[in-house]
Amino acid sequence: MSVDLLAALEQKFGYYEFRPGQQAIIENILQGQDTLGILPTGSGKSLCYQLPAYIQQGLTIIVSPLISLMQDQVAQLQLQGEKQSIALNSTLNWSAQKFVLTHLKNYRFLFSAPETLNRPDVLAALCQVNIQTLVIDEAHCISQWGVDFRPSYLKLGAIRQQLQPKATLMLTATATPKVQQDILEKLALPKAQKVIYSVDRPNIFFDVIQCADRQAKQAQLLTLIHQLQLPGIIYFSSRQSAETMAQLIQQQCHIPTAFYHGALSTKDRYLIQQRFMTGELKVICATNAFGMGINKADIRFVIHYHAPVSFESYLQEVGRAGRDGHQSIAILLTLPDESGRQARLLEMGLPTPVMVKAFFKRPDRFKNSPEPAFELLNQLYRNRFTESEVTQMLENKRREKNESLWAFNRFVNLTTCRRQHLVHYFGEQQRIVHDDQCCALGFDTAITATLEKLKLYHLNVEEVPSDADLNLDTLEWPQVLKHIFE
Amino acid sequence: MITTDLLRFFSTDPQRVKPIYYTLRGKKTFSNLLAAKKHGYLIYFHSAADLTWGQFEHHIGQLQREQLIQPVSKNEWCLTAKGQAWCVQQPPFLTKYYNGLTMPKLNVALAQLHLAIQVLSQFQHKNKQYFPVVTDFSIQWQVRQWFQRVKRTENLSQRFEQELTHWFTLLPSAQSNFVAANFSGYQFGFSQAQLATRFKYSAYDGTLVQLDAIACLLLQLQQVPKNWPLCQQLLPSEAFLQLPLSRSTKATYALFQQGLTLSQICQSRRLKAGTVREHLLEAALLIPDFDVTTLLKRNDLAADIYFTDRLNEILELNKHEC
Ligand SMILES: [Zn+2]
Repeated sequence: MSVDLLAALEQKFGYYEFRPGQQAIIENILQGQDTLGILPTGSGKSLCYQLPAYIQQGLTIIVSPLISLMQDQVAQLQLQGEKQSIALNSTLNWSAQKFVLTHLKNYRFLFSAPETLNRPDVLAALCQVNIQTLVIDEAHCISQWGVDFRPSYLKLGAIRQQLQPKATLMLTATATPKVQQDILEKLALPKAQKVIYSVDRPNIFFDVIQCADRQAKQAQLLTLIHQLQLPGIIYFSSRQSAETMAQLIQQQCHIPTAFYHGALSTKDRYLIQQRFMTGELKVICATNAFGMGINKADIRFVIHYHAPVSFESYLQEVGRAGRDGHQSIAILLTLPDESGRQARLLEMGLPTPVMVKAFFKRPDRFKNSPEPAFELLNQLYRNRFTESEVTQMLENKRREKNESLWAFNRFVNLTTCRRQHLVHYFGEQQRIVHDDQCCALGFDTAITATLEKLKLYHLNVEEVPSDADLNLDTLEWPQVLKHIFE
Repeated sequence: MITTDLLRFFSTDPQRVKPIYYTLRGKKTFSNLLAAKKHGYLIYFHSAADLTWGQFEHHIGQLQREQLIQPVSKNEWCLTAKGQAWCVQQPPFLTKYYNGLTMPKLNVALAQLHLAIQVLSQFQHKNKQYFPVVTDFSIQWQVRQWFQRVKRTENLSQRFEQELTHWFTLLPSAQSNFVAANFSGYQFGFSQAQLATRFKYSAYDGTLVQLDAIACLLLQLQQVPKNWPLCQQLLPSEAFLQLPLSRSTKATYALFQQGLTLSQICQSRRLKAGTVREHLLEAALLIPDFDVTTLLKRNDLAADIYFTDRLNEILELNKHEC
């Protein structure tokens, strides 16, 4: 293992070792080798292009399908103290865009969508600078075989040839062999190397607890929070239950807890992320809106208070635990008659039939809608997809999600190795050797013993709120200014 | 917006509710503006741009069910005795500087200020790892440009703190406390939920409290720019304060100010008489100290009863205000 890479990793990111797949990809990029990386969400995909950007000179361009995704990634870089990053998209006004294009040398990371990159002025400006890596995030969007197909991605083959990057890195979390081949063909990179990393996360213990009824479930959650090594995330299916439980935990366990969901203002969302990152908050009660941008390495548990919307989202949410490689646990709380909910399109960020109808009636009306669902419709429309084609695509997507939910319900009621079922579902041949550090066979009826066995048992005594010196009830503005500026 | 937020728009005088809705949404038609001015809520122009007609109707229905307002005729409503008592017991926040017509981008100004405060606070504490409170790129952009310009200022944080202190002393302390509690900085920041428990403002009131404060600051920046070197550069008043007129109306008004008669204005601008009349009605209504008498004198267009009636109405209104 190259010492330099490890030293850079520690210095820049504070990690002491790479996670599977990362090093191979980084070495490829540094050698100018085009690479297709298939890494599950939460495995540190972005580090694969961030680290080389600090080692080599030149601009790294990251192609992203959605404005909201770019915004999150830039915010994440800003959190890491990286100021030389910018998202070039329609939210920047014309003069700001012009400034960026004439000062490209000032930037290390440039995020953009295929449409923007394809603009003649943008291409011309980019051709003047030294481009180190072209990163195609969510690369599976280029494949018509995939349900996430983004027509604008088809332009990337031609764009890549004009930009002439030293290396192209295609990243995706999931891609069947058919989709993998399609990605390489569309980008005309048949010789690219593939780095595929298993969805399995050996340091996460998979646990399911069945509760007698809703009341028992609530009590079980509170007990768990008392006993679990912190910090952690609890996922709920509704905003209301996330809020209610956050309050209950705060009151009964005296642990700094916040709720987090899509209805919060941007400011509140970032405030909560910030406090969770710095350890001021120990527990987050979240809906599936939480996750983007969260790169906290030491999350010890993820609890699902309700069933997730699909097997994929379960894996993604669970994957936020234990990124530092230490023992962590995923606990699902279930009821005898509970099964997952049918996937709803809007929850997946996809347009509903009503939205599709409204859109195709008056496409011009939705031209600049920042709503991800309409962003997608705009792309499809610009690429001449008809209303019925779009409807069909969405229906397929919904069906696929429901199939995955069905597989997840089997996972819940399994009496054999859960990890084996999981890797199978995600198309891997790997044979899991089950042991008592792996998963709970059947429902766990002795959770305390499980936690002790995993060394995750930790009696949480009352925590003193960290901002005790700033009591909001008596706070006056001179104090605020003093605290902020002195 | 919660239902009782709307009570401030009612009085014992009967009035229609549609102009209230269109004013909140920021729709500029003469009859709305006139009604808004007549009933004293013109400054709330565009202060609830997201409000839908369905929500609005729901609130009005709710106010009636609670017997806080009552219908007087088919379209007109006024406060009930209970409604009057409510307004006395739980008075809404009354703005002093805010004017939605002349300050259309106050929320941008507020966001820029919030981000600037965060940036300076983190800079002062030498922390580079934080989530920006504002993710809008154009706002981040403005603040970054500002920070590049000012970051070499000696005692930067101290000077900025002094300017903010100066600002807060101009406002009632309860207002300043709320505005300051909404700031974020190094290891500082309260969520909306925490703030709501301490300050009992509704979300709409809370927004007005903050926008009113920032309006106060912007007016100061315009009047005595030299007292505010840092804020001045961050929030150039010309970007945030404007005449309450649309561009075309402004052009017509400028010609009127130069002394042209109405038919001369029509010729010079190649506009129909009706359009010029419309422009001047808007100007007469919205420009403070507009000289309606001179306008009537310089009206050499064909007689138009609607025009003269409205002008007389405005004259009447202005008399009341004096
Ligand atoms: Zn197992």
